[in-house]
Amino acid sequence: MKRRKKLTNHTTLAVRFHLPTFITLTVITLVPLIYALRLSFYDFKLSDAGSKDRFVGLKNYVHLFHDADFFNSAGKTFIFMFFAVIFEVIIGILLALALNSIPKVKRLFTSMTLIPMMVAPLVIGLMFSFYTNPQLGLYTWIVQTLHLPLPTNLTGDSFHAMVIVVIMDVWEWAPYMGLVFLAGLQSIDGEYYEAARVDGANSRQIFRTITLPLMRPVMTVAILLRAMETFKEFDKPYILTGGGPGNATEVIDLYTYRQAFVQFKFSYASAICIILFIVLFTFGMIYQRVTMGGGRD
Amino acid sequence: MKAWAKKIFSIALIAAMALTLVACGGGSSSDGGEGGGEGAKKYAGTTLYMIAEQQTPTESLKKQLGDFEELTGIKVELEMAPFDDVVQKETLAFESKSGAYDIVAAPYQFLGNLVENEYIQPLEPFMEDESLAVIEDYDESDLIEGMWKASGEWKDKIYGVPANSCIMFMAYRQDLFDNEDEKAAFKDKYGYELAVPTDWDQYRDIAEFFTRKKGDKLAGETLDKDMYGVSIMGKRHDAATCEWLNYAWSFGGGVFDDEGNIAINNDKSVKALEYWKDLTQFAPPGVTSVTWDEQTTQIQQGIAAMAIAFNDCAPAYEDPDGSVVAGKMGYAKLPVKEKDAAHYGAWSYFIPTDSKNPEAAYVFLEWFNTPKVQKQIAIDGGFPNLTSVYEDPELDKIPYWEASKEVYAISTTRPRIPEWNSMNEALMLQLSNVLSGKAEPKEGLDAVAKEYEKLLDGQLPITYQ
Repeated sequence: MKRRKKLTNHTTLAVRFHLPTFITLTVITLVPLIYALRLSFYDFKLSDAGSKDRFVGLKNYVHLFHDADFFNSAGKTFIFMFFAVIFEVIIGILLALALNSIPKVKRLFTSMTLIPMMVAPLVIGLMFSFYTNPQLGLYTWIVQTLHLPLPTNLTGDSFHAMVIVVIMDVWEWAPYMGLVFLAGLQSIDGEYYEAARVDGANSRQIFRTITLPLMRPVMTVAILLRAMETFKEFDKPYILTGGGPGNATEVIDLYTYRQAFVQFKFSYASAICIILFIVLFTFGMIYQRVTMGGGRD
Repeated sequence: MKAWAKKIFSIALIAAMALTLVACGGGSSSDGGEGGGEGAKKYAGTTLYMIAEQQTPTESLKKQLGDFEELTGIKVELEMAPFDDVVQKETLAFESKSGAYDIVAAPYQFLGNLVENEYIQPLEPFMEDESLAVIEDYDESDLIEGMWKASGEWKDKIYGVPANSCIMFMAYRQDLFDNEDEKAAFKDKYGYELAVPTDWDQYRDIAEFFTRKKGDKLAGETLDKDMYGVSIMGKRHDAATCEWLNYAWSFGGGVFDDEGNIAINNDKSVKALEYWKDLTQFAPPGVTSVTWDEQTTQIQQGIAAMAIAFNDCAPAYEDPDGSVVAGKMGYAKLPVKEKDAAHYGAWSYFIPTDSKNPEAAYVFLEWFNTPKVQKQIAIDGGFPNLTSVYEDPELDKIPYWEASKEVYAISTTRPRIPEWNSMNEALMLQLSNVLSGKAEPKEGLDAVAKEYEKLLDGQLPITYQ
């Protein structure tokens, strides 16, 4: 009897503990999601009185697949995601190796690398916009004073605008990757290295055959996380380029924002969000498989 | 070692989580006070909630709110936010019918949208209500009629009063235009006198003439940085639309023709865009990231000899603390091709349909349009709504005053139809594409026209805008 009571107590306790989280999540994510889903089947535009209750079925989704601007922004997002994540991984690894080999005050340097992450993305956008300003920016001044063969009007042409948007993200997030990789590095058992050294392996071989393979799980997780985050990029390009010139840096969240809050086409923007949700959900599933036992079961 | 690693990993995770958390702002509520007295004090004890753009005239208004409270006993909670945020906040408040605001500021091009959606209420019932005429100095006939119509009237009903009105005119470096060496050099090169340009060909010549490299001479002094003929606002932003429409109107093009059909891609509009694009070679690099803020900086730094600018930026040019050209500027109406053009831009104050204190809000609008308030706004760097304040001789010493007066009289508004917002989006995108070389002027404007046909499907010709 006594034992049974204890068990039910455990269950109620568990329910009680989970309930607040469950309710909060339902209210702040599930409800808006369902509302957005509903909205995406309507034709709700603020510029059009009475459009709120106009049911149009899948029209928004059909329109989406004929919308060149949507595909443009999807393309820009993938370009941005690809290059940002690649450079973050490369710089992250180098940073992790460097931090790992610092003999003293490792803690201080590790904390210092956290600084870019602590800056609000909006502030980073502003920082870079001052930095690269074609007349007043420090970058412009350096290029002109040293007569470097570099362009100064970065946000004025499509290619360089994308480059600078990628650089902003790398600047912000490479240190984070460095930290995650550092954690990965330090969790590798030192015995492997000793054994390799006894067998006469040089450091490059050790890196290729021991460090990289053992780091793979950590790297996969980090890459997936960053890929999801870069997919949702908004603040920095919004401030620096506003998606321009033209729509050269209009990533998908900027496009959605413009549809919803500049053009006030709420239904259409909701339809885009639903598509984004599906994409991110897929990422999330992969992420879960990777973290929860490699998906072998 | 492993514990160390775990620690770092968890710090990194927590940091990442902390960064993803988004804080949500709370709304505001309105508490309605009952009538507290006679005359101006009729609505004493009421609190009005107001939202407006963060601008010099709004700051000036904020300073004077104490006077209003003293006079009427009505407290005004004024919330200020940047352009985009104001419109978004209002839209959300209207849509959620929260009654969060009693007075809202909105750019006049949203007027059609606001009225058709019944977000704002007509002012006539208040204007006709004798019991609301409690502000002694208020005289309806003193409001500049054209300005009032443009910013507040929709289909024969008045919905708002003008606020923060501004106009686009030409700002130029008077000191350079007056310099004898420059005058002689200009005449040598172009065969006519250097003077304030009255047509666009002269404007281009002068822009070309004043574009110099670092190390060249300008007005007898060696330049320590590059100098440019013009400053151009070419960011994918409302600023680009505002500037380009001047050229388009002046060249005889525009958004619609006289019959209300799409004129955005006719020959004249295309010519205007070709002209503008050509002009960018004389502007500081990075034209496609310039809005009125950057343009103001370029002029303040003295690196642009001329600009088509909003007159509410002029106080910043004349501010000796932030500008090297204070006292050296001249102002005039824009050059002309086929006709005069000057883009009128304004915010208006409206009373939302769901306002909890519309009467008190109307009393505020009356007070806002009294000479004392408007004059203070003008002194602080804004522009008034009242004829009497414009005529006030005390204000004539403001350097940009004379030109502003002249230009207001010939100003034109952009369309105010509900679709304008989406139309403007399409236009901004293509203007930016053209200026950054991604599209040819004709190609870009054709794309805009195509988008307009889609947006205005079944409504053409547009007879009321």
